[in-house]
Amino acid sequence: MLDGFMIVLSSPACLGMIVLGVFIGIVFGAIPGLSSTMALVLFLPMTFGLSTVNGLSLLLALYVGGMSGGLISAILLKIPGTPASMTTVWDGGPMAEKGEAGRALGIAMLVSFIGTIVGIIALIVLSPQLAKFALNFTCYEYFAVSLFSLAIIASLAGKDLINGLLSGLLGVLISMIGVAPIDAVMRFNFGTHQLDKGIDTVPMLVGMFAIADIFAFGFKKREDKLIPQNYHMKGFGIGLKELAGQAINIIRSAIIGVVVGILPGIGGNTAGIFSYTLAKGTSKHPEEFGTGCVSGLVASETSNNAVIGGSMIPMLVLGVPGNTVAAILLGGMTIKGIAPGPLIFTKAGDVVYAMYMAMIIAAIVMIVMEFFGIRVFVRLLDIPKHILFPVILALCAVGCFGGNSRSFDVILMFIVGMVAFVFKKLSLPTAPLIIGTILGSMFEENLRRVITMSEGDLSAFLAHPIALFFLACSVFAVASALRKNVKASMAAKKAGTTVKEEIEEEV
Amino acid sequence: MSEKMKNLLGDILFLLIGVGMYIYANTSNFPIRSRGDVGSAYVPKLVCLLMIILSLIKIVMILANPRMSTKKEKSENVNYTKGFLVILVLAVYCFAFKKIGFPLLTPIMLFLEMILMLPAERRNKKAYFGLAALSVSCTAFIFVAFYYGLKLMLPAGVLKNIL
Repeated sequence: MLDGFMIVLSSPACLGMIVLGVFIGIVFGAIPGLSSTMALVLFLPMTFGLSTVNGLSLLLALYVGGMSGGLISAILLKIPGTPASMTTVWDGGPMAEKGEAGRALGIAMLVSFIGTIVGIIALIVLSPQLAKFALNFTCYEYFAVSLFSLAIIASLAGKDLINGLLSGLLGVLISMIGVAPIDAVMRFNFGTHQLDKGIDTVPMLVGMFAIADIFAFGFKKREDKLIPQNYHMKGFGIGLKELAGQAINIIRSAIIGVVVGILPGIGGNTAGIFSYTLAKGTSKHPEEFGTGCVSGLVASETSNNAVIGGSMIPMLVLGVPGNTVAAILLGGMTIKGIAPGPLIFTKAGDVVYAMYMAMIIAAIVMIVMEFFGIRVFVRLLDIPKHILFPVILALCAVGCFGGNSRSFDVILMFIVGMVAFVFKKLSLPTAPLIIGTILGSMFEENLRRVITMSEGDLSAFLAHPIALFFLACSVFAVASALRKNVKASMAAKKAGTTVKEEIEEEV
Repeated sequence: MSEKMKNLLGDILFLLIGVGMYIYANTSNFPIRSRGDVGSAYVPKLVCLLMIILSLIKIVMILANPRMSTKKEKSENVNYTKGFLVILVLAVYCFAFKKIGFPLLTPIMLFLEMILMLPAERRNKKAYFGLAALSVSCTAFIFVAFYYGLKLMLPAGVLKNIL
């Protein structure tokens, strides 16, 4: 173990790679349209000429920087820099609008650091045991987890449960474009080979979150005046007492992030949604969520960074990547001749512990870099929107093109942006649409496997208590959202107002 | 547009998508390749059916709700001409991205979008020249950074033989 740690600590080249990786990762994470996935894909060929530890350290630093960098644009621009920072927009954005951008950034990067460190500790301590547990998941459990995630759409849709479910179902339908799981049948490509692989996540997210908002800005007669930002903060903008008050939220969100990271196929955005929804549900003031609530910001950023360590667990011990970034890391390890699996600790233990140390150093570099660069980052909001937004459009096009080197993805970005803009105009929720798109393939594949294996007999679930638990949670989530809607409707009838007016009065 | 009309349009849209995709899935004759499998049309049709049922329920609820506002919502801070031009410029940019190329098309797009989004009271010759210079320099920076720095391929388009 010590040998592994010293490989990193005693090598200036390795430390240099980590600093470079964190900086570039933050930049890629912060710019909408670019992502830590793209950063790793771009830099993977560059690691061929580096030593094993230096190359893997660079990739890990890009991952750590990229996951954290998303908070910058999520807070300053209300556009998630990475998919994982989607939920950071919900409270970080409003905090920035109220003139608390510096405080939001300080809190977010502090809890990012804490979440990252907790994830790494979990990776080091729990990897053998947790990996064994995740191996026990079958299609029943994966189906139940994806259904539960989709059911959360009901609570996220706010006042309109049915529109939220419809939006989520549309997302699931969109995910079915391309090659079907299990039997590889080509579906819904409308005769064009460009849709053979389905709709890529990057154009989807960029179109949904960046293009639609820029279109909305384009329709405004007058440019909104920027609220002056609060630069005067001591430390991270949060006192010890307030941080202690968030301790339960931080611990819970970090655990959620680690657990979600371990489960293959579920990413940081799902962790953010789970922890955000739980924080809102257990809060004494749930109405504050979405208006600039510190608890929402803490839940989101802690969990999506804790995913980093969690996603590495099945990748290292089993060779099963926890997400796309872990898949790229797996490719990097294979290139260097490191075979992930149960024997990795005996065959390449020093490399594994070197990777742990690289991640710890990357987390420290990340918080230092972001802390001292906060004033620079906050100044990004001072750039006039009539200059900022067109430049973002160009960067988004480059980002969408760069993933697959296809101009079709740029066109797709525009089409999704138009759809999202129409959704906004019709007051339809877009978050469930994104969730449905991301979870749709997992939902479908495992549902088909469940039906095949059980031969249509639903009582097969009785033999899978974990799956039953998630199914029960799904029913509970929809029922509680429905109950909330009915209660609000009945209260509105009593008061002689509409439901919309009733909810507006509550706010 | 009134709140009632907005809600109706949204749910009619979902209904049309559900019906359309159900018919598409039904007529596509996706094969069932293994015994016991339900086939790749099963889940899409299930999702479409759910969409049809939920949107019909919602449409009935809207039509049966006498309290939903039919008053047209006024929007004062809206410039439809400017908005549609912003969309049009981006549409041309995205569709011509490969043919004309990033180096030539991007400064034009940037300049036009910046002019469109520039507040009317700040429009003058000096601003136009400044934005033109900014458009060219931003394009150059992005091109050098991504093409030479990160080895990210960008379409050269009509400048293919020059760059």
